[in-house]
Amino acid sequence: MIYAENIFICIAVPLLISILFAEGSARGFIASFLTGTAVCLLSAYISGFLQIVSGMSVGDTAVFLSPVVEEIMKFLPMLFVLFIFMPEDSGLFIAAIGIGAGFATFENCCYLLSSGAASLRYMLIRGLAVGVMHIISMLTLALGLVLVRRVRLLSLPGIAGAFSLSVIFHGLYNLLVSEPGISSAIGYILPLATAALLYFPYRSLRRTGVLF
Amino acid sequence: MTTERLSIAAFLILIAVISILLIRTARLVAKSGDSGAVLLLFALISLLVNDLYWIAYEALRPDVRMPFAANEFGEAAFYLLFCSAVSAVFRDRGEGRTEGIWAAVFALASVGLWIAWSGEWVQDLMAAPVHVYYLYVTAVSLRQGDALAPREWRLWGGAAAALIAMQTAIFFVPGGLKSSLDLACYLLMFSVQAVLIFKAVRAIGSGMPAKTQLALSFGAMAWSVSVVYMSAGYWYVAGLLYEAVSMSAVQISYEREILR
Repeated sequence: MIYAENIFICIAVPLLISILFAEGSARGFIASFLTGTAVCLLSAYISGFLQIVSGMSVGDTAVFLSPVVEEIMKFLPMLFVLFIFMPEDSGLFIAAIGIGAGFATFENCCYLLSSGAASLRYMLIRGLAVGVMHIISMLTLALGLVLVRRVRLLSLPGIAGAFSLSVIFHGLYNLLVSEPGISSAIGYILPLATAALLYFPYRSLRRTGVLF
Repeated sequence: MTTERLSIAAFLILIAVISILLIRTARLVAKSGDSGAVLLLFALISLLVNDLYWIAYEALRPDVRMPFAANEFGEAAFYLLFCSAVSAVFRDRGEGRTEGIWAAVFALASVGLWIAWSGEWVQDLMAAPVHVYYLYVTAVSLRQGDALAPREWRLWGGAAAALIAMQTAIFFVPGGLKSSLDLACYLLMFSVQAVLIFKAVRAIGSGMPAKTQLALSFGAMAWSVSVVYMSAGYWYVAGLLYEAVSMSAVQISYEREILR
């Protein structure tokens, strides 16, 4: 048993104070990071509730329900930022990275407290696989949103398409790591490999002026 | 070879085809910097991840029927991003709305049949808006691309209506007639599919306007998706292979439209 709310308070208070003194994009990033930690906590509540309602096991909930719940919860603040603040492309990316990093950090903190930090192998998996996965799914979402806005198709189908892509990526990761053996190994490599694959078109798009 | 193994083999072929199309589209993005091409790239990535999800699920949990899962979103992502990419070429200016509405009616009737076959209300109702939108955009693009003559529109509409009527009748007729109707449905679906793919390939080969090529390929793709959803066993495998061909046609014609 861990006290996730207490961990959240411990992480959130310094961030809240930082927001008061930060300016510009730094403030945006800290606020997004804080939002990411909050939506991680809320996602845990909702997944737990759905697990009880559906009668699924903990493993099946992680494979089938959690990716959907977590991506919806990360998606909602992105929508808020997109439509309320209407940021530039770079602002949208900062929000996405902040929410993804905040989510991954809070999730990692909770896992560390529940499973211990003695195993370096486990720590590397948490950091390099799960942590990167949350950031990549958010970057994918942000890139999708920027593109549908760029072709003036910022409509429900375009937004839903970008969101759904982040869900299937997260779902594939959770499915692969749900079973030991070669599938887990592939799953753990998947986020870093995707990050590497995403990096080059991202740079190319920035160079050609398609992105900011 | 069992149909399960055949369908896995078909999925592997589909993955290989999508990978090639992904590489071609990535090159197109690098060459043109076109936002619509990037959306097409994202759509293909969604489809690839979705198919990998299927293969992984079949390998890891072969005996458990898949519940509502992330792959429903993967399919939705593909269709929506695909539509967004095509809508970047064919803007909805009101032209083709009538055809679009009829296509949407066909999509809704199909969803009703899916529910009657599988009993999976939640999944099918969630997939319904995406399927309706996908077929609507297809019909609009076919109209705007001047891809079909009025007679062809009527023939296609008649085939779609006959298909829905026969599929519905299967629920009510006795056993012997049921299998005959079932076979008739498959023959109708695959004949229309063959004609549409032939038209798309001929358009690409004969150098018709790029928009017409794209609209015809998109139409063939939409029909092959409907065929796959309405098929089982060996027919399902054949439908997947048709899908691979029509998807390749879409990518080639999209590339031509962008580089025009």
